Amino acid sequence: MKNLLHSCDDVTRRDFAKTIAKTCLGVSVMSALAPRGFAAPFEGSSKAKQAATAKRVIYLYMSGGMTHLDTFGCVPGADTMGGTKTIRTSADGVQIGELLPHTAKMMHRGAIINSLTSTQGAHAQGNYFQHTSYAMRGAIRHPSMGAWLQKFQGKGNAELPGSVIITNDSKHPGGGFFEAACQPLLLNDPARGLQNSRRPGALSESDFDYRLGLSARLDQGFQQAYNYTNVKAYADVYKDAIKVMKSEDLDAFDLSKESAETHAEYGDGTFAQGCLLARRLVEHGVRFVEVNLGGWDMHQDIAARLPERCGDLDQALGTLLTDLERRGLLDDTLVVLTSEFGRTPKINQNDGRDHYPKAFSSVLWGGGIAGGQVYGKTDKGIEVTENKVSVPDFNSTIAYALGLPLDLVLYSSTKRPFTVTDKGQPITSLFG
Amino acid sequence: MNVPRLLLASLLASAALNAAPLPESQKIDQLLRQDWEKAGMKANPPASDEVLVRRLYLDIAGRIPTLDEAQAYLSSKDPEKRSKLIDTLLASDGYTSHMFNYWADVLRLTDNVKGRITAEAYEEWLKQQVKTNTPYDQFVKNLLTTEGGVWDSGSIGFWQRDENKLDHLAYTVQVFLGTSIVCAQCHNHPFDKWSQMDYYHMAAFTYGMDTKSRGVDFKNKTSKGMALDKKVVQAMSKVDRKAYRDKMQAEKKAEESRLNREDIQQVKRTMQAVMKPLRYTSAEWQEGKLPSLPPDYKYPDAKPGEKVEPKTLFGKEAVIKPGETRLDAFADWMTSPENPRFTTVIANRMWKKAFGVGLIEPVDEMTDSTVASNPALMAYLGQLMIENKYSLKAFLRVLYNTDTYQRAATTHEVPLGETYHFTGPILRRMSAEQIWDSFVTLSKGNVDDTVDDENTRLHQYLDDLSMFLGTIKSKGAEGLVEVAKKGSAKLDANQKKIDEKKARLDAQKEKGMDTTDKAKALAKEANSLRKSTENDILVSLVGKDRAEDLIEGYRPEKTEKEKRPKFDRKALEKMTKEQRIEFLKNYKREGMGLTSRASEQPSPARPGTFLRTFGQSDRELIENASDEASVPQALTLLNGPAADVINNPASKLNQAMAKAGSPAQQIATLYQALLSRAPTSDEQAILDAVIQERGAKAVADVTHALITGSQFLFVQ
Repeated sequence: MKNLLHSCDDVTRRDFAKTIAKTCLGVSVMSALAPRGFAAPFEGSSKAKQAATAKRVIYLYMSGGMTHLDTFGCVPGADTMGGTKTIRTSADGVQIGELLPHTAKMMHRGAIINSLTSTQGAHAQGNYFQHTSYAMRGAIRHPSMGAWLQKFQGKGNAELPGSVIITNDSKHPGGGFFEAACQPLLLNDPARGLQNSRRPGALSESDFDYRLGLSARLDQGFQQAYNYTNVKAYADVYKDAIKVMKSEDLDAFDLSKESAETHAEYGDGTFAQGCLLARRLVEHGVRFVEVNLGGWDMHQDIAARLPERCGDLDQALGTLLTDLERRGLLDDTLVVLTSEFGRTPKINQNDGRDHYPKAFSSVLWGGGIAGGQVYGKTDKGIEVTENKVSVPDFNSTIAYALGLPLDLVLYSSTKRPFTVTDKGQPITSLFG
Repeated sequence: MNVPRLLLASLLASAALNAAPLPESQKIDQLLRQDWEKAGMKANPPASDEVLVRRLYLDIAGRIPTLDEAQAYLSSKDPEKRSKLIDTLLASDGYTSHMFNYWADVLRLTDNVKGRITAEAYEEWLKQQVKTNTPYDQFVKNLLTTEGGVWDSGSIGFWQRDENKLDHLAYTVQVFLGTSIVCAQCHNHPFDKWSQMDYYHMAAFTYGMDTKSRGVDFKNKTSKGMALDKKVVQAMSKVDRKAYRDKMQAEKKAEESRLNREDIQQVKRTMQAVMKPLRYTSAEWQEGKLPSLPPDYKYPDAKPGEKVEPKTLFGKEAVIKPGETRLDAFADWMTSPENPRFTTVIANRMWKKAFGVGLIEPVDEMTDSTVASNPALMAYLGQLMIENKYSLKAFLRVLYNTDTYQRAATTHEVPLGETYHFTGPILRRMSAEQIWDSFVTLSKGNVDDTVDDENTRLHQYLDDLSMFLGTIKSKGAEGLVEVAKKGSAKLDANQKKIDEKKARLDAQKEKGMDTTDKAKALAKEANSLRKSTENDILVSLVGKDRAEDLIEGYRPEKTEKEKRPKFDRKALEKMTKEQRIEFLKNYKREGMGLTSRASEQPSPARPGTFLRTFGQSDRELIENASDEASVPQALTLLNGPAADVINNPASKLNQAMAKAGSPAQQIATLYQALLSRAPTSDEQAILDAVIQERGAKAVADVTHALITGSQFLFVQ
């Protein structure tokens, strides 16, 4: 007879989630990283695996549904192009939208995938699916790629978070059902640095230290009276917090350490600063950074709105890629550009384009990708005619670059099995 | 020191205060005592008055007591003061706020959704139910059987929460029947006895709830829809049959003169954008709608795509009474005292609320082999709930009045795998909301009267929506054709104008001119023309005032900008320059926004804010709150504006300290405010040394030390 009360072999949902004071900022490195789960194959998952060609990922997410025909999925001469013209790039035979001149100079390092296809045409569902490779349901939150990376391979820098997400999306799945230590750090404002990580200006260091000591002394009676894991955790967590405060790596979050020239190169605005912060973070060992650029949901007047949006993207992206290459980081840093879906080939009655998941485009640079290529094709941006790529396939390509096991099953606290990209099959031919 | 004697005296005093307990509470104590005897245990020592006043305020009202409130209780010599405090707190709006948070977590109530107006109305409805203590069975029935527009009842938010009604059924069963069947939606349940067919049988009860419609569908009323089943017609009396046949003939005639498809399409197209405010505001029940098995259904008992009839998971069948819908029958079945799990689940939930741990854990994963840790007590609690007609306040009142609840918290954690014998409540960390609400209390005192303030804007807007939908419904497609035609013509004319301008711009672009700015301006013009046409249609339908209101939309400013506490400029002058800069920086930034309780904030709070940092549920998953320590929490208390609540000259605490006088007296006040007690003798020794060592800095030191100390965050 199964007694579900506090039974030690039956891990309940909340027991599973209980951890001791270790978080994305916790200095204590997650030891038992050996993932739970059988080696038993997950039906349908890819068994492909390679030695990692990417040590880190910068994931640039265009939220709202980036038009494919006006950016990377151009079909020169097609009547579905709207008014957008194409330009040549540093990659032979590859043309992209005229609004992306800086990026065009780095296409020799990139691979455009023009055959993405999905059935999720609504923002929330599409966004979730792109980030997790699973359909959005209310019974569970799936982890996004940064969390999986940390789960399988650990952090790059013990004193910094395993992954950082710079976004305004309050519903980002983050680390999903993984424990606190694998949850990414969510930042709204890249310029602001890490919240509350510095002593208040008016307080001297000696006063600060004195108070810490006093707090521990006054707390002693309580700490001794109660023998609870969580009570001890609340004493220990301050030690970890101090380590974070004193960590030199906190400088990674300080954008003021960059020159005015660098700031000007990247540009103004949250996305540009986010890209600059991403570069700093990966230099300091953070292995997964996501930066969000919104405003792509152009149901109206797309021709008028694109220049500004693409301008923001182009300047920051072009600079980021050049910067990474200059610093010798691009070879083992995978830069990803993607969105939840594309936009309708037919311009609508409001001079805009509507949601279009049936065919859209994404791009990968660096991290072992053989540059200068285009994978997959559409007719005029309407139907995929060659090499269909599902969203899980796209994500498994990222996981493959990182050397993650695509068929290793991990269990949620509700005892459901998951793999990093469900049944996605990586596009191994992209790798040089 | 006279500590031992004082301690003894206070123990005797608290024992004497437990005068005339409720018979139901006594019964619970008795059942527990029997269990302790069997296990060779005895009750925890009694909780002191200081511990109890803080705990009662936190457990029932969701916040620490103010200085005055704690003082009033501690100095009272009334032998009934405990039960009186319990009654006072249960009747307070502190209870409303705190219990609202509980149900918001369980029901995943969030206003961070597209259908914002419905979510807000749902929140208001929920607070109402909690405040008036609607019997729980009625509460659940209301949730399940609600339909109509959000202006009829905010409870349609229950159905609007999940577009996928198959998923929604799993959450309903989990929350109210404590049973986890979600796995069985896609295959036979791997750990429990439920099959996929069982799941669909249950889903058949709720599948007919449609939350996608905007409340009206532009369709021609066809005579086909009015036709009755042949058998029914045959069974009619001669007179009735003739009347029916006449009616059908008249309909067919009228049909010929009705609108053609094209007109209907035009109406739909034009009204689509105009009717946007009506999205997510209705729930309509369709009695005939049944779920079909998915195309990959792989079990031999039925074929993929087959429709599934309703059937209950356990207990009796749900009988549809005449005049009832199957949803009504489902709600009756679920909330019946005879339902094998309904009562147990709510009794167990409320027990857990009072004692920190359930008699059955987890509270929502019951199976046939689930046994409560104290079966006799669990049975009694179920009985108690039914006897009290599902009044949660009455039930909780009994629990708080037990001798066992009023004992000290158990000092050690119960290890996984062991049974807890409830020799007292367990120690718990405050929830994120309790921590926040406690800071609010320190800053502003008792603000319970601001809970659920009258929201006139909400009701005005709901009224507009209701009137709007009513107008459209009464006009129907025929009535709207003229409006649609006019609107359509205007849109076309505007588009022509814009196209001409665009052509001119394109020509300029060809010549090499930079037209980006002009293009942007043109886009703006196009957009505003579109909007103005839509607005004109709206005005012609509901009149100028209502139209303006609907256009303005519902955008409640829940930010604290208008509600920021005002500070005393003179006090500001007393600060040093650095302190002033720091103070103003935090005040401008957020000042923690300590103006209202968590239940009055956006639900949930946005990521990165205080409430979420301390583990508030994201309300995407059921009961997803966390009480674990994290570095961001520590950083917030160490370096964030948390201590400003004391530094802020306007705060209640600061005012009390200013009155207190000497540093020693100020520190004593601090202890009373934060911990509702005086320092122990050991603590006093440390504090005396601090005052000597640190002089003027001592009070700030102790403030900071207590706020970052763990005992502030825990409920003893």
